[in-house]
Amino acid sequence: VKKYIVQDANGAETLKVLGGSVGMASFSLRELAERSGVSPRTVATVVDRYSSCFEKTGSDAPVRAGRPAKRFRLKDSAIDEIVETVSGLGESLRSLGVAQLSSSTEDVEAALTSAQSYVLAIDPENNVATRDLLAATRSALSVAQAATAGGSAFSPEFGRIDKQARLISTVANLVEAEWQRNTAAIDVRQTEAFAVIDDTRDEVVASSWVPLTVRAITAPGTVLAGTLTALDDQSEVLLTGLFPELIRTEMVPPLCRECPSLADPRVQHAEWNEPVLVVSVQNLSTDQARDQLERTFREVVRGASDRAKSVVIADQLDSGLNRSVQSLGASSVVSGDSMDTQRQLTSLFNRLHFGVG
Amino acid sequence: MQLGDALECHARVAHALIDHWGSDAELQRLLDQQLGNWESFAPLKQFIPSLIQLLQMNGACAEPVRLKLEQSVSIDVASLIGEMFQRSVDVARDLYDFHAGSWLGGAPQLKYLPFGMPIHPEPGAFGSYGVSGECTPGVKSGNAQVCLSLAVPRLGPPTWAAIPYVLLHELLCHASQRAESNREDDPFSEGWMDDVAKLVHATKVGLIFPWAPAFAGSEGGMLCEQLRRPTQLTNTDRTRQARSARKAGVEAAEATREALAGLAGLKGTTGDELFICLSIRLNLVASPPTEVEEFARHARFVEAVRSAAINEKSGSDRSTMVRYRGLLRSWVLDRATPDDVLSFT
Repeated sequence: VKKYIVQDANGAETLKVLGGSVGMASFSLRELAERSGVSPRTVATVVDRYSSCFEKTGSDAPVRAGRPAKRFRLKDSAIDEIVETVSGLGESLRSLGVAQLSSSTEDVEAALTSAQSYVLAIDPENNVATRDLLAATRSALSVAQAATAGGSAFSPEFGRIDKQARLISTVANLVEAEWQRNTAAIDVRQTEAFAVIDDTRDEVVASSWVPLTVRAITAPGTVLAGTLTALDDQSEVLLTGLFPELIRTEMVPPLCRECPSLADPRVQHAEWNEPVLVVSVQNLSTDQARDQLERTFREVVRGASDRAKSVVIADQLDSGLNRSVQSLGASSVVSGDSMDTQRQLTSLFNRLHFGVG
Repeated sequence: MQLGDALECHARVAHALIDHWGSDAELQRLLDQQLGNWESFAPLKQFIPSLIQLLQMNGACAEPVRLKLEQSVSIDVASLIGEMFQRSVDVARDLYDFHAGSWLGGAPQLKYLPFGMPIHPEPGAFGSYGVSGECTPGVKSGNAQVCLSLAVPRLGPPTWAAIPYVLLHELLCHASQRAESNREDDPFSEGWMDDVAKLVHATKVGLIFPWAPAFAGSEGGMLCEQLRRPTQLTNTDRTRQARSARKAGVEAAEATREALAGLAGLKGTTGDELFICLSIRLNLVASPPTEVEEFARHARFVEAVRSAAINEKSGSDRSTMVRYRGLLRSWVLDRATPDDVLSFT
């Protein structure tokens, strides 16, 4: 890598491309070109030349005639090597007058990093600190905004930076509603936050997106970001009892005749939405109930997509029963049908939907 | 060679060759190379003879260099670091006494530790110089505790000469701070107060590092600038967060310095003197009860000042900065307390 960059006349561009890829969860060639400020052709050359460092993650849905754009990501195993190479060469190129990143981009990113650290430090139970940290978050966002308005050098970065700013801002609004203990406002803000989280997942780096998403999910709201598929009538009754907002939806192809899909109408669901499969079981300690559950997994759950997540809600649960249900392939097992279960399930369904731990 | 011995050898060579660094490119290249090879290098007693031999083989051992290297075996590294530290303590304590009549750092204690590669906790905290500091404030333990970490593979003359800046940062920012927390993402104690350290370093480095004050001034200044740049490619998230906080604090501090420069005539002093005085007093303001409240107050204050300054420059809001200048004016005229200033929103 080093040899090529030093010898190649386009070393600075190579550096920008490799450096740009480090900060992106995944990218198409066009997106990486925009981020790094070089032509898509140069990006294609660099990605091809360092193909051992990248892997394909799929393709974008086609928006016009022609082949869909391929998506790539930097392999985990190559990150250290690339970062080391890029940082070392960055120093030598800087000494030749080649900027690694424009300073205005750095200003905006620094302000956003601060804003994020403030909002994530908030514990709404601490009245004084929450007031101060919310004010600090918004001031830091206004600094980022002012720097954005003043700089043209980082315009290729603008989309990503703008999304990160929106994500921080929307989480700050949600935390504020939580601090004010306004349950209606929490649901409104959480709905807004989930839309922004969906919209930013491919562009905001994981080190920002994940903690902000987790923060939004942990707010005590009742909004379900994803769709659910109830695997029998009993499960549907339980779910609609716990979440009265849920309505049946046709947007998810049915898994079986008696498997309605449910969605929270406050949320705009993306087309790729993968429903969480839900089955409730009564008297799990009986052989009959366990046989029934096993049959459901064999006949329905395993027939669903490889990525499908399933949740079992059982009214009786001990560690032995929990293990036996997990062994069927359930993603999670939850006990009871109380308000606690509702809170637990809200958080669980949203975590499964967004794929965060 | 053991890590501790390598620190000793590298520090001796760094101190001995300060005058030759920068004027002899080949010497610089060979030394840089050898610093990184410390593990495979000769045992302690043979270090200097082996180094001289290597330099001679490469034609980079002029007579003055050879003499200095030979004499370097008698350099007492612990005593030199101790001298730098004690002088830095005197500078910091005198400033706190002069401007606030209060020093909370007690009798600060120093320890220094060698690090190999990879550097822990993370390279970013060290900058490319491979030197970093930590401080437990005096309010916690009676006497502030400063810990200097030196990455042996980087310990050449530039790193050696950057030590005074690191010591001044720890002593001025943290040793006597009222807040108990030592969060590295606190924009006031890490950023704003670092601007004080930078100013004081520029004027007092000759006292602390009399052997090559200009060199120490420039190397310390460069390390200071480096640690204010949250360049994403070289840092972990934690370091990026710390450097972003430092940058925020510095920007707020610089806006304040600029504002105070315009008020210096009110007290017949300089803007920088007013700035140092205000900063020290702010650092001594009584703390809220919890660590997160301390952090939140500092964050709110720094970001309020920073955004007021930036919005004034962009023309989107001039009134907030006007209000801040008014508050600073009141403080200069003893009509407002440091607590009032810290409450600015």
